[in-house]
Amino acid sequence: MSYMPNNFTPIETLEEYLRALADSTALTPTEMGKVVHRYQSVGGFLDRDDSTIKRYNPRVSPQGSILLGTAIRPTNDKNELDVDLVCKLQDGLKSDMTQAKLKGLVTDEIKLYAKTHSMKPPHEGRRCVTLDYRDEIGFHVDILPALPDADGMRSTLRKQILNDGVRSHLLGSVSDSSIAITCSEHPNFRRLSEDWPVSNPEGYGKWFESRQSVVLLEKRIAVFDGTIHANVDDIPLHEVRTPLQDVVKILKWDRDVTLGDDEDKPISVILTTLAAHAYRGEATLTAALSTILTTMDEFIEVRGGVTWIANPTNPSENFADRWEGSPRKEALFRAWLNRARQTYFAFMRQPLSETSSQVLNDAVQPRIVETLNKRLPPSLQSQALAAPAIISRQVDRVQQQREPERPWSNSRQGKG
Amino acid sequence: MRANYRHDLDRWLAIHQPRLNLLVDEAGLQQISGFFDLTHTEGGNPPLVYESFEIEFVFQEDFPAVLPTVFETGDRIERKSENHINGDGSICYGVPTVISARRPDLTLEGFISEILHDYFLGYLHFTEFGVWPFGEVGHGYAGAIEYLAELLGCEAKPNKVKALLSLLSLKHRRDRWSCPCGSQKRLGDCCRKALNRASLKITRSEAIRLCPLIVRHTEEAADAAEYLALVDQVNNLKAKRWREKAASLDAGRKKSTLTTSVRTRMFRSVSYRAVSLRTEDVEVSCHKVF
Repeated sequence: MSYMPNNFTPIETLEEYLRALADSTALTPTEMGKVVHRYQSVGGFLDRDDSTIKRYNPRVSPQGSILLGTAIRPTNDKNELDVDLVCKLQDGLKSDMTQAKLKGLVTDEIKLYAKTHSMKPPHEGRRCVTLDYRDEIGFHVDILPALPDADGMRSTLRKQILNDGVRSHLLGSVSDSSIAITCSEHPNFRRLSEDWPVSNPEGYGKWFESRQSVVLLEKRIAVFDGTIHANVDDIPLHEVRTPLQDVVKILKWDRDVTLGDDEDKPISVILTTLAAHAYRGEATLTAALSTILTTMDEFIEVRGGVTWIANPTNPSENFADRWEGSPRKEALFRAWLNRARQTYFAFMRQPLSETSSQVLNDAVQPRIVETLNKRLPPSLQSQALAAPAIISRQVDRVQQQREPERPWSNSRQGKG
Repeated sequence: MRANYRHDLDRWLAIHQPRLNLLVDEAGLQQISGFFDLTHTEGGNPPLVYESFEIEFVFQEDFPAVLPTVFETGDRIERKSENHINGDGSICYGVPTVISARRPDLTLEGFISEILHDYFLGYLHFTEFGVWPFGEVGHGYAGAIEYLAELLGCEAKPNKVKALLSLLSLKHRRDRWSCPCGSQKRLGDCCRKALNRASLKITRSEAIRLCPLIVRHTEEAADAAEYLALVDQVNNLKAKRWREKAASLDAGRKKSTLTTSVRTRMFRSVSYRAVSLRTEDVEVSCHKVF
């Protein structure tokens, strides 16, 4: 896999540099289009007329980073892009089937899909069915079979959400979107029961949107042209670009580069949740990254001596539940966060130059830094050659804005 | 030092001074080294750096009772006393004993963000305007007295400073008492007004902490002076003996080169001892930082 920068426009400010960095970590529009096409293809196949689950009105939708618009490319050729989908049988009822039956129904259809498309047979995980794709960008699709959650569970969630202070206007949409999922290790996996594992990826997406509602509306209005989507709010998150999404992408990329294949590295949902909590509606990526890096660990709670990162749509679920059994996970997260702080604060507090960007080498990969540095104006590069006059003037203006001054510079100028 | 300070300090450094690194060696020695950044504290997220200095210091578990010696390792600051920097690159950020006494709750974060920050900011101001913006006092014992005298609002005399500190450390004072400054007057007729002014600036607990430090300082200074005088006496005595020996050698033959070299060596030895004594005695400099 070869890295191609998204564009070659010059980078003149720190903000532009960080945005270009976020671009480098993200899927290109072509790759994103391919992912969307693939999951729509799966959705269409499951909903075809002779599908065995057609009567349950199946709907395939993205969850996780694809839904949130925070998906990143694999950092090396060994890793694959992980696309998470939910296959919800909208007319299915927990009283009609066991978890095993639901999983079997969906798995059989996915097997048929793989056979029809000459793909490797899917393999079953604890909760998901996984389909492998082999493309220029390797990725696999995890399909999570699910049913709409029953009213009882919705009301339970409503109570929890009320108690834990999720915004009231989100209450309906967040709790109504909860789903019942399957887990082969669950005691009721083969029993007809109302007690199923629950999840709420759609609700999480709504919560993630609510954390950046003002900025998101601006960005959606900016891309809205009335042709594809009837409503501004219908524009999916992956079609817009907000500072919070860019920060999450940068942090996930940093984690993958610096911690590699370490099994104890922090999971994406922890980074995303803490970043979204810490985000304060900053309009620029620089300010958002600064605020989030500074305060994201303040949203880690301790409940009864257990480190707790609550799922905002299901506060009784602890995203950091595995930290209790493996203290190294928490230590690794904190050490990683401190190192990320050091790296990005050291970078963002200096005037932009090729030299200042060298601190990113270990966190971002030297090849990406090198590619981004080629887009810096010559005067900001280490081996500065004579720059054309127009560029020089532009750079002067940028540098004047960023030129660090003594605290007393203004008063001194005032004195003349 | 508070519990979990390593974790808190790591976090604080990563956010506020990301180019300073905390290192702990196998023996448990804790060192902070790297670039200390001066940033604009207002109007920026993240704040912009306007100047950096390379520093290094080791700190002990007994911080803040014992403050670290901080070295400027980047050779940015010329080693001369008006820059409040010593020949070895250690910086004079204040009177450590006074800072320790006045700031018993000082944290390492506070030491870096207030005391070191003010030193480097003051240095930049000094290089541009020739003035230390937070004031400055002399080095050593005299500097400590000068600083405390200014703080107390009294004359820069050791006996006055000591008297006021000892009075401030008491719960009650009576005007009829003999003034401890040695004037032979009643307190009411001597240091009472200065005492009233000083009590507004220094608390009793601070005075209690400062009192023994000043007394110790005085004793050390007296000991040092006495010792130097003794060294001079020994030196003179030895020189006299060598002169006599040289004279006896000269009596029968030409002047010996050996005598000259022995004299030179002796002179160097005595000078070295005197110099090293003075170096130990000299407290790092003392411009005000709090």
